[in-house]
Amino acid sequence: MNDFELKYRQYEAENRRLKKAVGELSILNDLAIAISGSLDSEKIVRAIISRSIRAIGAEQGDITMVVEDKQNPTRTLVRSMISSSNHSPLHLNQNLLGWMQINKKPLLINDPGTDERFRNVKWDESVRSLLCAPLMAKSKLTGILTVYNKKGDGLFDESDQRLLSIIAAQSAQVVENARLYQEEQAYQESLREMKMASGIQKKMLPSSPPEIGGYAIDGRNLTAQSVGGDYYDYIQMDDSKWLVCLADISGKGMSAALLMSNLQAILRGHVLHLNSPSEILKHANIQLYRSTHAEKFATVFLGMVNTKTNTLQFSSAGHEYPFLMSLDGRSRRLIANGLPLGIFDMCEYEDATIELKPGDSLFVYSDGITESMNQAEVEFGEERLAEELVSAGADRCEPAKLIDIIFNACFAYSDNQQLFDDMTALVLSRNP
Amino acid sequence: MKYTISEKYNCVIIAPKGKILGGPDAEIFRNDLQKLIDEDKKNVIFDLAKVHFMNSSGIGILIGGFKTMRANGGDIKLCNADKRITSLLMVSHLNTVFDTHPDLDSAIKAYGNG
Repeated sequence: MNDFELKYRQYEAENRRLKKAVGELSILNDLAIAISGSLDSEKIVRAIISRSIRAIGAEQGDITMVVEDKQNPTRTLVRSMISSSNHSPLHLNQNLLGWMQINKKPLLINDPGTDERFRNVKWDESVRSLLCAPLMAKSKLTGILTVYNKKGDGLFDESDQRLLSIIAAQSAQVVENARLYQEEQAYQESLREMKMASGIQKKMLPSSPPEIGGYAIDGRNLTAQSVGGDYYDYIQMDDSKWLVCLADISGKGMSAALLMSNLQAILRGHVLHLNSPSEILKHANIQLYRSTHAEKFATVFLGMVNTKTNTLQFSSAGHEYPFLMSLDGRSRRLIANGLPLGIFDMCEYEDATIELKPGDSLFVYSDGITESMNQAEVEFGEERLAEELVSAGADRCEPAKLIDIIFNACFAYSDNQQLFDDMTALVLSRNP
Repeated sequence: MKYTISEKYNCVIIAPKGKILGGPDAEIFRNDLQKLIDEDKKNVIFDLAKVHFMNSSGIGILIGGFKTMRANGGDIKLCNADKRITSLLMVSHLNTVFDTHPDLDSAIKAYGNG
C-alpha cells in the first residue's frame, strides 16, 4: 500500500467516525428538543424509547421505572414499551432488575442463553440480544432504559452501548423531573379532594343554632385535619322536644369523617321513629357495628330536651360525661353508662332524666378539649375544664360565649400549637 | 406503639411503653397477635405500667386485639392501668369488657397460673 492509499484510508476512517459522531449528536439534539419541552412523563418516556430504538437499530425498547419502596425494593412503577416489529412485548426480568440495582452500569448481552452472569435465568425465547443503560438521578437508580434485539440478526456493540448510555444519562433527570411533577400534580389533586370533602362535611354540621323556646343553644367543631371525626347536631323531634347529639369517632381524618357522615345519617333516621335516646343508641349501634371493623367505634352523647317539662332525658355510648352547671356555680356530671357504638352487635343503653332549672347550663364536649396538651405534654384535663366552666360565671348562659371561653383556654394552654385531635363542644342553657 | 413481649407462667405479657395512639403500628401489633394465636399462646396480659397516654385509636387497638383473641378462644387481660386510663375505661364502659387487674401477679393468677 502506498502512502497515498494509506492516507486515503485514514481519512476515510476519520470521515466515517466524524459522520457517526455527527449522527449521534443530531440524535441527542433531536432527543433533547423532544423531551425538554414536556412535563408529561408518558410522552417523554415514549420519545426516549422511540429515538433509542432508531439510533441503536433495535426491534423493541422499554423504560422500567424503579421506585424506592422499602418493603419491595424492586417494585417497578411504569413500563413503557415501543416495538418496531411484530414481536410480542419483551420485558426485563427480576434478575436483570436486581443486577442493575447492584451494578448501576450499562449491560450488553448478545447471547442471553450462555451469559455467565445470568446462568439460571429463563429467558424469553425471542430475546436474542439486549442492551440496558441505567437512568440515574442524584446518584440513585430511577429507571432502566433497555433495547432488545439488534435489527437484522446483528449484535449490539460497544458503540451502541456508549450511545445508549449517553441517551440514558441525558434523559434521566428529565424523566425524574416529570415523575416528580406528576407526583406533585397527584398531591395537588388529593388536596383539592380533601378541601371538597371538608366543605361537604362542614355543611353537615348545623349552620346556625335553632330557636328553642326558653333555651339558648350553640355548638362548635374544629378539626385537626381537613376533615374530622367529631360531630354535633340538634334535631327537632316535635313541638317541644329536641335531641342534641355530640359524637366522636375513634381516629382522625378521612376514615373517621366517612364514619361520621354514616353515623349522622343513622341517628337522623332513627329520630323519626324512636322516642328515647337509649333506644336510638341501641339501634344505631347495631347498624354501625355492621359497617365498621372492631377497631373503629364512636362515642355518643344524646340528650332529649323537653321544653314543656324542662327536663333532659339522656343516654351515653361511652362518651365523656357532660357537665351540668347551675346558676349558683355548682357543677355536676351527667353519668349514663353504655359501651361505644360499633364494638359489639347487641348492646343495651340506659336513660337518665334530670330537671333543667332556670340558668342551668349543659356542656357536652369531645376529648379533643381535655386532651389538649401543653409544651410539657400535660393534658388540659377535666379538672381544668371544670374550673374554667365555673369561673365563666354568668357567661355560661350564653352558649357561644362559653364555647369561646373554653376553646380559648385550650388554645392558650397548648400555646396555640397545631390541634392534635378534633375539638367539639355543645352548650344548651335554660334561660335564667 | 413500642412494646416488649415476654412469657411467664403460661401467659404472654405484652408491655407497651409510652403512648398508645394507633396508626401504622396497629398493623404490627395485629401480626404479633396472630403469631401468638398460631403458636397457641392465647393467655395474653396487657401490662399498662409504662403507658402514660392512650387515645381513642389506642383503645381501638386494644378492642381489636381483644376481639381477635376471644374469637380464637383466648383473652386479653389488662393490668397496671394508671388513674387516667382507668377512668378512660370506666367512662367508655370498657371496664365491663376487659378483665382488669391492679398488678401483673393478679392478672397471671386470673389465668389460673402463678
